This record gives sequence, structure tokens and C-alpha cells, in this order.
Amino acid sequence: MDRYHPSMIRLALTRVRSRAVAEEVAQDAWVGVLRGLDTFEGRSSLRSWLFRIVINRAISSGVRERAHLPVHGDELEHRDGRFSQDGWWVTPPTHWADEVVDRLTAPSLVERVHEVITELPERQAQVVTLRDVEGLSSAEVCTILGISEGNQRVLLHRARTRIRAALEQEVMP
Amino acid sequence: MKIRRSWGRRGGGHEMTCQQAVNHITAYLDGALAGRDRDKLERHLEECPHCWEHLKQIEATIRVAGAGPGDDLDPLAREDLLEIYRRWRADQRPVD
Repeated sequence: MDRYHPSMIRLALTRVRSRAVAEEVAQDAWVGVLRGLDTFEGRSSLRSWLFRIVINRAISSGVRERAHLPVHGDELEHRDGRFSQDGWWVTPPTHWADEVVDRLTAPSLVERVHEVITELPERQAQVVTLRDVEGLSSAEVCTILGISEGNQRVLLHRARTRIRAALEQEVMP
Repeated sequence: MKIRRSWGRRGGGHEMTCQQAVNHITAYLDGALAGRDRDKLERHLEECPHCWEHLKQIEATIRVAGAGPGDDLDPLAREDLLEIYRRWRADQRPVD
């Protein structure tokens, strides 16, 4: 419970905007888990099952509360469209990867990344939360979200692209 | 991996454009890029410092995303969850 509850809230937040609603969703998911425990066949991992219930509960929680901030997102995406028509860098990346790794524990960077994740389109936010924040495998994520491996990869790629761009702004203002 | 040459449109690493290389990064990191594409990408990365930096930035991005937050369960939330559990346990008990 201690291990999964915060993750469940985070996952719910990819669908609902307010923390209060996300907490309700996570709590409701536990109720669902307990009720369904008899029918849990152990075919998927307990974790995958938990997360799938969270996604379903978040969807059925009714109002789609989440408001995206598309302007911000588009702007970030454009920053990555740095290739000429024949596919070479027009604006090569400035070098900052090492600096980020050095500052890995800086709370401001971590916070910024989590903020950007909440601004991503829902599916991208779910994939990147499960893959990169929670560390699940691509197979697990496909099962939880009911999507194909290819689709999962496209969503992950877009999400990481946007987060990378946001980190760049943070490190090289 | 060492960068052997300065970046330019030459050498075997440029069978693949930078844009293609960047597009393959996610599959590559997942170990899902096979055969010729994988070879081409690896050659490209060896020769192109920009795409190499891009790869390192994506890896850094993944690490930051996974770096936190080390959130603890708020005591009130824990109490609520325990209450749900207790009620469930009570319902489970066979009626005498």
C-alpha cells in the first residue's frame, strides 16, 4: 500500500486534474482491488492489475477534468523540430546532458519534469509515467493501457521529446 | 562510445540522417531496434556528436523522471485506506 498508493495517485493525475479527485480515484481503486481479489488470477502482475484498475476508475470518474496546456506543449515540440528538410540538424543540441546528470537530485529539475508530465496529452502522460517514473517494462505498459507496442513507443517518444525540451529550457535558460 | 570523427556528411554513419537517428532512439533504448537499422544507428552515433548528445539527453531525461519524488504516504490517506481494508475484512468474515 505504501509502495503503490503514491504511484496510483500520480497515474490518476494523468487523467484528472485535481489531486483531491486523484486521491479519490486511487482509494476507489483499492476498493475495486479488494472486491476483485477473488477473481485475480495472477496472470498479470499485481502491479499491472492495480494500475489498470486506476486507469479504468479515472476514466469512469466522469468529468474529464484535465485541461491540457497545448500552447506550451506545441512550443516545446517545435523546439525539437530542428532538422532541415533532408534530415540534418539545423540547430544542433547544445551540450547539457552531463550537467543534468550532475544535478540529478536537484528538486527543481525533478519538479519541473513532473509538471511537464501533467501538461502532456493524457496517453503520453500515462505511458511516460508508467515507463520512466515507475520503471515498468514496455510489455507491462501495453497490457495496462491496452495498446500495441508500436503505439506505446510513439507515445513514449513524443513524451520524452517534450520533457527533454523542457529540461533544456531549465538547464540552459 | 568514442566520437571518432567530427560531424559532417561523410562516412558510413551517414547512411542514416540525424532526424532518422533521433526517431529511432526510443526503439533503440528499448532494445527493439534490430538488424540493419540498429547497425546504421550505432555507426551514426559514433560519428555524430550531436545525435550522441541527443541520446545522452534522452537518457538524462529518463533518469530525472525516475529520480523522484520519494513521496511518503500521507497519514490521513493511510488511515482511510486501512479503514477500507478493515471494512472489507469484516465483510469477509463468515457469518455464524
